[in-house]
Amino acid sequence: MSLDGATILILEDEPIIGLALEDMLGREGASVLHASRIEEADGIISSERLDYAVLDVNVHGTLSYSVATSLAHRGIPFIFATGYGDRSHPAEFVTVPTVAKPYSSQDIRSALERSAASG
Amino acid sequence: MHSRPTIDFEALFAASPNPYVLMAPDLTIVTMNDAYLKTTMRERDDLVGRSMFDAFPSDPESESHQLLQNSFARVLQTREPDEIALIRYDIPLQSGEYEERYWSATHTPLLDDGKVAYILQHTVDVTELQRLRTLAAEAGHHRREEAGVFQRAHAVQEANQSLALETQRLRTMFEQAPGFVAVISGPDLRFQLANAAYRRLVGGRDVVGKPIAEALPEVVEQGFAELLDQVRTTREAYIGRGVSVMLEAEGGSPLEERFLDFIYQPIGEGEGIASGVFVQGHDVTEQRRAEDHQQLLIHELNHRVKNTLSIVQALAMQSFNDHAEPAAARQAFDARLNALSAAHNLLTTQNWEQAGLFDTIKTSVAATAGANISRVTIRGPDILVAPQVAVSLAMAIHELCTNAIKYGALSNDSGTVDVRWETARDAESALELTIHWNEAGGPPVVEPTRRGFGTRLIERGLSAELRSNVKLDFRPSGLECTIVAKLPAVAE
Repeated sequence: MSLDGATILILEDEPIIGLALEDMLGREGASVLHASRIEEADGIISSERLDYAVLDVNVHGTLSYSVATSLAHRGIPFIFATGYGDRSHPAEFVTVPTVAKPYSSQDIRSALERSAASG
Repeated sequence: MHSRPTIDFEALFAASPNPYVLMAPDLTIVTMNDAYLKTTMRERDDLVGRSMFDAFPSDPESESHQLLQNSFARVLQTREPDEIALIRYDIPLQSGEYEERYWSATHTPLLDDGKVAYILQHTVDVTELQRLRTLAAEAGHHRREEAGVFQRAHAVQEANQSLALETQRLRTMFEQAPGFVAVISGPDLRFQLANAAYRRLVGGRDVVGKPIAEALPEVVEQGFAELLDQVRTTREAYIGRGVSVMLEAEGGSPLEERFLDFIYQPIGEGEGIASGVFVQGHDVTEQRRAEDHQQLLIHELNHRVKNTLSIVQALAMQSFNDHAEPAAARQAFDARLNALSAAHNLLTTQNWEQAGLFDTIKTSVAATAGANISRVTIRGPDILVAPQVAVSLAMAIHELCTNAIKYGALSNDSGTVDVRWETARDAESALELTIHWNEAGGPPVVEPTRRGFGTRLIERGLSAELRSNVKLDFRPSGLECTIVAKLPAVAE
């Protein structure tokens, strides 16, 4: 699978982590749209054509499952990136590929591959 | 066949030559016969309705008083007759003086529906016998048999007394034990004993004498009666650890969850069904809550550690990128870790709840610029910011500082940096923070052709974090950076 030319949404509230992820994906040839808040992500989903999304589960204390629901409705493959302890997703998202922080670019790439395959 | 006349028990009681007095369980004198009045030299009206100890006062510390009191207590507790072989109880005379008297007394409970309704006291005045015995001993004429009887009686009495004392001591120990203790017996699981801690546990309810189904109906529903009965019938002890029990904090109040460590121990030796179950344990609810809280803290700590590792990973990736020269990359990485660590130190002193803006900026400048901090002016209202904002801001200031040291005002010996900020309320009354970073006196500034991590972090990262605008103006006279940020609320 190639991410070259793909447009990927990153929802991540920690700017330094977001920037690093952006660079990881940038090296694969993807272009990145970055959101640090749930509403920002909602705005991007409704206005942009997306190929993938990487969602931090806990965004400023709010869980990002509402964003996951909109992505699922639109058939956009997505993965979760989580810190410790928030890996027990609701039933509808238990099969969503999930990477634990800190993650490598390989982790992200293979999780995105799995999301595309199952989606 | 002759029909026998009906026996009038009241008349019998009244006519008996033996002195009898009848008391309520609270020791109020209910009635007595003539023999009693005669032997105590008192009038009926003077005694009826008064408490025994009030009608016949004695020093509460005296042996006699305690013998009597303990005997009553035993009768009420065991519902069995109790005897005092020899007791000195002086009788007041008309003159107001006291006459030395010795008695033998039997206390018999009269039961009504299993409960003590009355205590019947039968007293025998043995003063004469005791006097003769003393005289005999004084005269050196041993009336062996009589003296022997008395000595035996006295010995039994002493043994009983020390047993009673021992029992009392055990009872006090149970009563005051820090853990809860109860004794439950019989097929209806009736409480025989429950100490203070047990009564506290069950909300001060009076359980003694009642079967468990009546005393604590809620625990029966939770299967504890079944468990007790199983221990009673199988004689196998049951040990519970951190067992959740829903109990009424006060009789009739809503159920509250308590966590208990306890043991159900069958009572008695031998085969077959045990006579009862000894219940002993501790309320570990507070301990359990502390553990839960600790678990929460560990969870939170893990979260932070993972997050910090991710930040470190990101800093490493940015520092050791494809363009970097290895030695410079390592230096940049060390400096970034140092700045992150300084921000963490600052937050740790504030319990990771908030940080002062002034300290956040100053700490970051100090960690990066070292002694050159004397060329950096820092001023502005010292407002509080959330931990995440403090970390982002500290890292942004670090990047600005690093840039100033490498290319800007801090790269020579005379340049200066002015950092100042002000706050205002916007239309939605959110706090808006404006930070100005102005460099002067450095070498002429050239706008970089490639945006490094520092610049990108300031422009993008910080801006996203703080919902803000960042403007970088690469003026030839010195870099001017303006950060306008809407601050999320800090928990007070």
